[in-house]
Amino acid sequence: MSRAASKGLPWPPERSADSPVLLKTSGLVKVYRADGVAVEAVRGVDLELAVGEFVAIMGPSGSGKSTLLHVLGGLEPATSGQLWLRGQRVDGLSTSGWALLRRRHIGFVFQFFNLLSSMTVADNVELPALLAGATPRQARKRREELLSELGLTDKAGAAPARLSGGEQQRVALARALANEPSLLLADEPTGNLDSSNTRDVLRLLRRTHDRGQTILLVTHDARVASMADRVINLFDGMVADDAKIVPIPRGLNGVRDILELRG
Amino acid sequence: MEQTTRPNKRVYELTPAGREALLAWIDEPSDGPRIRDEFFIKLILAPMTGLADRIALMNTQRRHYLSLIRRLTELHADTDPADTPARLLIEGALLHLQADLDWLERCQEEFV
Repeated sequence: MSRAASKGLPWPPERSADSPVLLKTSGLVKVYRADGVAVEAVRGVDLELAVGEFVAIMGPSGSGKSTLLHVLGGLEPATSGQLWLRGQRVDGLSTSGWALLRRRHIGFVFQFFNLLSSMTVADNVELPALLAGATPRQARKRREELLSELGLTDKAGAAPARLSGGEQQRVALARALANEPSLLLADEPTGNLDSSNTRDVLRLLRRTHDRGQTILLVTHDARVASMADRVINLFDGMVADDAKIVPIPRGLNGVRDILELRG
Repeated sequence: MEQTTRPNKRVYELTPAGREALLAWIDEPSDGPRIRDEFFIKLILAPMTGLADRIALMNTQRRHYLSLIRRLTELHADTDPADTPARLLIEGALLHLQADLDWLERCQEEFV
């Protein structure tokens, strides 16, 4: 895809009721074949994601949620069905076509961080910008901004293995955001973290979203899913439910009253 | 007991029998899991009555749990870290809700 085409959407994205569609699928199917046996992991998924939305995908193990995320990010090809990103049909892209598209438009965060262990934290975060054609100076500036925002400035020179799990996931988040992607995809981003690190990563995701970042994440953790604007329940490779989370108005539940009974 | 901003309170004292009952109550283990579950009754009766659809019931319930979890997570974030009882109460409620969601998933596996 051309550079000019990548400048189509405003940054930061506007969030309104009629926000443009960022991602759309129609009848998306993914079948794995192992030893002649076909396993239908994703069985006809139709979904739309608007610019600026924060959507969580939940569902039991084996419901196809990680597979769906991988297909949406081009890490695995769809078996059939259509996929559009920013209005462009992308399901037929080649591996290298996907690599280019991801570099510019998609940030990925994984459960096990997937940082490059031979590089420092700073280099891990600068690499995506350099690959996308930024000058070393631009890449360094962006890296400094991101690390400072995620509270990691003093870890810039460290090797990822020296960091705690929570810190590694924050580095992975910085790397994913390095090119200001149109879409942030996260696969169980807190799956390997304790509850206090989960809270940190959640807060950062929330803040990133508040600044207009579109986020689609797969999670088992209900606290993570409950932060989203919308939750999709995947069951047996199909969408069983797709609904906005309706916040409970403050003051309309008894928890505060119970807590105030003490003393 | 006189109060300025609220009606006066009457102070009661524990009788020996009352104290005994209180001690017995403290010594008893407290009820754990809910066996009488309103949602489950609706879910089980749905096909018999024809008044509700199981998938719709489960979806409504899941959305409700997620809203509650969101509210409690916010409340947890707003709670003074030094207020241990409040934090533990909220964390307990969140863990119960997570279990409710897991159980809902089990119901989904069996009934869908």
